[in-house]
Amino acid sequence: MAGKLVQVATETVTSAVSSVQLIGTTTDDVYLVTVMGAEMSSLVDIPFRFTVSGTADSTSNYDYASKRLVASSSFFNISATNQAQMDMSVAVSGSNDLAMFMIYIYNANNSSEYTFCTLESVNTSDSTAKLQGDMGGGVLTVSQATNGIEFFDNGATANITSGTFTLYRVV
Amino acid sequence: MSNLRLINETEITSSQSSTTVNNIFSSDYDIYKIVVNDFSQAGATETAISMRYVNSASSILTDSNYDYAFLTMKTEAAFAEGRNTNQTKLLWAAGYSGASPDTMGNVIYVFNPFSSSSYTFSLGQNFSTDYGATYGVSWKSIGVYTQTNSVTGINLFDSDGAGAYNSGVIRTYGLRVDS
Repeated sequence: MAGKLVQVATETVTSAVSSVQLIGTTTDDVYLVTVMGAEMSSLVDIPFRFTVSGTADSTSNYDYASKRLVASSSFFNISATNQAQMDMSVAVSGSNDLAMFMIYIYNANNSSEYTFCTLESVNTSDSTAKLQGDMGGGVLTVSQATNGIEFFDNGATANITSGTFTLYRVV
Repeated sequence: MSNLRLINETEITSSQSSTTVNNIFSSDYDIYKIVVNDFSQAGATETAISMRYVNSASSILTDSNYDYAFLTMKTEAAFAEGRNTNQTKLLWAAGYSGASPDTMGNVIYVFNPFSSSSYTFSLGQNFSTDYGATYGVSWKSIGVYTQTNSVTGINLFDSDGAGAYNSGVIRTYGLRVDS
């Protein structure tokens, strides 16, 4: 018996946007974010951050760690603390450079605890169809309620040009 | 109604070394969750269960266009990396099948399989017991089929050639997006 998924929000990008927000992590349930076929307008990563009352929390309180799996070379670790976003993404741009994410969010609605996430991703990237992906997770180390997630270009030089971003509540 | 919809449940009840589940991918969904569990060998020798895609003509796609990478985490041995490009299968996509009770559990996500304009991607994780249940091994894996063909199903098979399995269940769910 599989658990139920209840769709909370979705956005399909068909023309360039600077960011995508999914709002609605407003209960004590676990949430699942799926990203299907995200592309950027130039070869950059797709980081994300959580939102507080609908506004991205860009304070330097994000810690994350992941293992980067690569089909054509050795794997490596990605980790950082006290960042202004979580970046466990490879750079994607161009035909068949697509990013897929499965992100579970925990404790978002709890104002007395941190917001956690686990992440799995698979991409072809670097304009060479090189297969890469991440297995990891992260935390926003602020005791506050968060109400969603925002994907964006950290360098503010590129736009998100495609992809379907969906937020589900796991019940 | 849940946005996670059961599309197909296939139970293996006879000895076989290759199992195709077709007509599970369609334009109704872009992301699929495939749960594979309880594969058990007819004999005593465990074997790798690998995956290929199937097209609408029920042809198993065995061309050399599969890339994969996986991290192997063993309970009693060092972790290891596995990777390859331009292969004919997604190696160990469903882990190991052993003699009961040495079975396994897997979740494989497949992205975009029905599209005829982009590649088909996968994410997987599993845990299998091995070597008489004294040894556990988990895989975290990624894969891509680098052809823009529409695929409609999967083929799981004994890629070691070590012997047939005679039980197992494959459940396929679609993650519905309501616009």
